[in-house]
Amino acid sequence: MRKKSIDWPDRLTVILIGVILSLIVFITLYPLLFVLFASFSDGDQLLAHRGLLWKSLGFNISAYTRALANPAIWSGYKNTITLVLGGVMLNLSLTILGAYVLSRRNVLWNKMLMIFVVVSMFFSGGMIPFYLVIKQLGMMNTLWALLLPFSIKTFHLIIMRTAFLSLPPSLEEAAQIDGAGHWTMLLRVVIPLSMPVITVIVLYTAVDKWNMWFFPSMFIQDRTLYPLQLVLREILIYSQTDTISSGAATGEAYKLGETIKYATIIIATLPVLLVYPFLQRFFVKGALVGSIKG
Amino acid sequence: MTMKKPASYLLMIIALLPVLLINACSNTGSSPEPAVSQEPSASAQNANNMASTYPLQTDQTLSYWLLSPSTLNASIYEVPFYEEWQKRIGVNLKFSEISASQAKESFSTMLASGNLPDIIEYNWLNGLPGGPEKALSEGYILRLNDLIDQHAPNLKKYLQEHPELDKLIKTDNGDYYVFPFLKEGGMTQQWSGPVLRKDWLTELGLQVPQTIEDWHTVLTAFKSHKGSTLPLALGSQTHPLQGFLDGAFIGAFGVIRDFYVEDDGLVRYGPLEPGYKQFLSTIRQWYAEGLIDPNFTQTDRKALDAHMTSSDAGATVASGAAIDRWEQALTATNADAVFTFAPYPVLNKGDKPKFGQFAWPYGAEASAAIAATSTNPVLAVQVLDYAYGEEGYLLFNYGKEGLSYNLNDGKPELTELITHNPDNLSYLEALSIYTHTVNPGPYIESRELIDNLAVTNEDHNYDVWKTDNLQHVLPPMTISEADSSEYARIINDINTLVDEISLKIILGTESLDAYDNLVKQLERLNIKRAIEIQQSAFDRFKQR
Amino acid sequence: MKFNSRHLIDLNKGKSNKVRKRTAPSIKKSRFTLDFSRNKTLYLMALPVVGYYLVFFYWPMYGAVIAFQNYSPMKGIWGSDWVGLDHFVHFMNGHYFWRLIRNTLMLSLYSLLFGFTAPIILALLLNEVRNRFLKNFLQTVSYLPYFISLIVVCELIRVFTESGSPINLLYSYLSGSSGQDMLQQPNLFRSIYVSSEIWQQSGWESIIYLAALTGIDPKQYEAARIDGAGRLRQIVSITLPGLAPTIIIMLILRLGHLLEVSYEKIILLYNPVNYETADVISTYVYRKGLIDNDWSFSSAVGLFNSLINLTVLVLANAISRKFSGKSLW
Repeated sequence: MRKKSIDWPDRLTVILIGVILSLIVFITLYPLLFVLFASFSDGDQLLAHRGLLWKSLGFNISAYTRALANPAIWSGYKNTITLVLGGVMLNLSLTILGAYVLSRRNVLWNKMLMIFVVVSMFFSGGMIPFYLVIKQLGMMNTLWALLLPFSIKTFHLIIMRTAFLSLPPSLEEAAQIDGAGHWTMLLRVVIPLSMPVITVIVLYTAVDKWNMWFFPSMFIQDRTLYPLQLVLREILIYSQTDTISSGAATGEAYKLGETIKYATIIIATLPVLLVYPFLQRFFVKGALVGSIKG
Repeated sequence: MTMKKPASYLLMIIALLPVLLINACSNTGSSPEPAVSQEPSASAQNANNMASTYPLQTDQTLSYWLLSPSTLNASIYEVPFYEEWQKRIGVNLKFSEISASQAKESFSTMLASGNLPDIIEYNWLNGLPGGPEKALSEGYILRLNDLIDQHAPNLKKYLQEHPELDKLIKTDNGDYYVFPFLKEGGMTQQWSGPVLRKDWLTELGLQVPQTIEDWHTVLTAFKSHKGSTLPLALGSQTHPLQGFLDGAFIGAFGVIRDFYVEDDGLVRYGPLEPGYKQFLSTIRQWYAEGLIDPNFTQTDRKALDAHMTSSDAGATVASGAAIDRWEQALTATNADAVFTFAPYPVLNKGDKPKFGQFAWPYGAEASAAIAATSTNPVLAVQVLDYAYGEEGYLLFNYGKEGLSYNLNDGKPELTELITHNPDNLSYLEALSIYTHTVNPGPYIESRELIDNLAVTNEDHNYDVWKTDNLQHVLPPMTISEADSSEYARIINDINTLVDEISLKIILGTESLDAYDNLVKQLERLNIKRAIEIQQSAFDRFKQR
Repeated sequence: MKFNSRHLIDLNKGKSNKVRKRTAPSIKKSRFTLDFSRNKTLYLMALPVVGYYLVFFYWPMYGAVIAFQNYSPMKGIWGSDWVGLDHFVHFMNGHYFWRLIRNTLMLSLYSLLFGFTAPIILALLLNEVRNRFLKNFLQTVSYLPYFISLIVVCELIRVFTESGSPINLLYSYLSGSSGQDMLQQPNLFRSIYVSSEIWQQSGWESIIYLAALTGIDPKQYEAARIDGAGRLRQIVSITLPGLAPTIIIMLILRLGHLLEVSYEKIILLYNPVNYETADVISTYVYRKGLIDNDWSFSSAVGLFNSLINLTVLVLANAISRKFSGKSLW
């Protein structure tokens, strides 16, 4: 008797949880499925359609051929990949250096340096002065403007420092007794022991660079240097799928333009979505660095 | 990719500091008077009022900032016109092409940096809060009087022949600040207005509407009998209220969403006048009745094209060129589907429309100024002056002889490359590749060319669009330097507020009472002072 | 320059547990020269980092003096006229001041209220899934939106809220409204902003809670089961209390960033019709500076925003120190 009275609400709870989770899965995935269906749809039918899509309306890959024929997509990819690779190398080296210095325990300036660094997280000169500096450095319209000014994210620096600090001091003391200098210590002891946190910073930086659009829109005017996100913005937000569409084909171009938009989203998002499940465990570690085991 | 070694930046930072210091110190209080006295090598041989011989003999390169022209080709370097132009003038131009969607931001950041290209093509009249006087006094651009006098014989001659234009392109002080975009009249000045589907009107037995009431009847009929989902489509590529900015519909109530002059010579601000409230209440009602495109605030060019070339929309406000394009697309499937121009609507039958699209012959939208920091202003002047000579006129309007036009009895005639393009480009597209015509810029736009290109017949009668616009809209006048900062600040706040409240009232998110509140807020934002400033600018303009 | 609260737990714990303990006994040499000669390499290593901060943070900070000037680029920072606090006064007396403050606050509060609780609920739900494979699948799905770029997310928002779109149809059906584009309705902006935040972030942010949940001793559940507690009961009396410390830390950290609103997202979504609820201080800074060319004014507003943020942070930190003994510095 007693057992049953427990079972019922229990089963109800389980069912409820199941329903809610299924709903969450649907809400999370559906927008992407919608884009996928729309990208293969027929422009005409898509424009006339209202509400949800359950399959592609008609089947048409011309949007993909058109989107892939857009040279801006390719140059965007090229620039973004340059940014991601360059950004990862630059950010990683500077962050490791900074974190190492800040994690030394018997240095005179350490505390001051920490304040010097942390202030930047909470206070900044603002958009215009920042822009003026970049311009004065002559970096405008080069990819350097997207790399150097963002080469340390204070927050990453602090994560890294925390991780370095958490290494057992005995290891370093031992190395010091063996006569190892700072470089040896950094390269032989600290870095090899901190691979998890380093992977995490690499991934965070890569995501940051991949998503960058605001500063590129301020610093880059040459369209051949546009990173992918800016190209996307032109296509999506300003619907510049074609600059001029010819006489008889005006309406046609609009209809196709709609599907090109979706095809472009797929082309620009798919690679990341395909890669991330494999990197997922690193990211998960990232969110946890220092918090569980230190 | 232009990547330098990071180390070089560190060096540069160190190296730059003294330069910056010196720059900053030496520039204080400098007046924007150009260094005309110094004679750059390129122009040494033709300095004294002599026409420059093109191509100019120079190895110098000038930087040129402009908005990306609308053309089929991805980059300006792939447009044959720009190649030909550089060949003719003999000067290499290094273009910075700015995407139109980023124009304001790019312009602002370019100015803020104080590091300007030699030639900047922009709307120097309205694009910079404070206008040309401010641009001159801040030292962004050069006062061009002496330079034009000595090195720009073509423009000088043209302005001497057209004193009425000369008056428009100067500031009140008589300063020239740009090489202007000039229009020869006809359709170069007046090209757009209300338009409806003629076949629908005929089918429903309706006349071309003239009054606001007629329009209401027609649009309602379109909706109920033709199943039109958005009887009146309105574009909004440049501004959410774009469809009304030229004076269509709003003009019937005797106002526009801007400053204008009444017959008494006094400047008014449209949104403060009672007519503006009537306008809002009418359009709000139309919107609620489903007569206007529900997404009219976000209709880009493509969406408008789609509405007009389908049976969604029955009327809009558009340029003749766009209408020709749509008609071509429509008639391909339905021979009867044609458009007819309608006069700008009025309140009472027989009234003469007060406002409507009718541009001043000086189009400020893309006129070229020369940066005060340019190291070679004389060369820049010579480069720009080319367009105003006979040869330049032909190049900019008709393109290259033998390619896009031929001379017939001394008159240019477009070739089949333009009129019947082998790649099936429309004439506008073809022109955008071989000439400058489709895009505004520092040259004289040929009336004959444009008038001949457009389709004209009894339904496409540009005279139907005639209004008293030029007697009421403000001329290309300039705010005085002393007022410019104050004006800029007032008008920025006011523009945001007026657009916001107007849109909300039309869309029904606010009641019509919000208008009275708007008037109060405008007064608080010191609209009176802005009107005063405009009035004095207008009075000074009349004195020119 | 914005950073996310979700990471701060690391910082916080690390600092509170270790840094303090370890930095305390560090020997302070009174003489700089001695320190320098001992740690030459270290100073060399610090050089690029210090250089970076000097050039890209402190130089612009110095440039922020244009907030007290009428900055004219041709005259430069040294040559422009000084106007003192004029721009600040103008801003605070300005027509939009209270609206900007209100919108910034409201968006932050909404995000805090809903954006903060969503990942906790999600973690609780996921924790109830016993099947390992299913749980993995669910987690992978829930992180997915985090990897979609902001540009694309905003386009999705637009596609799904315009008239005739699925969400719009649903909303009009439920509310009986006319089906107008939802981004054109100022009263909906906050909901759109916050729910899209939840869509994109909560899966990712739930990681931290899920991790904390693994730390709960399974024996507690067993004991509860033997006592006859149902699942719901277990959640309330074991899972939630087990999560509480993490929740508190995250909450305090989040409070420190109360007034930071993602202007990048708003810029991509707002329009004159929804300015009333969408326009926040940072977007105003952007518009004033980059569209109206009012650089000095824009800098003044930006500076104002920075100051407020700093104040809130210090306050939050003080509260945190008082109630949990944890502090950012």
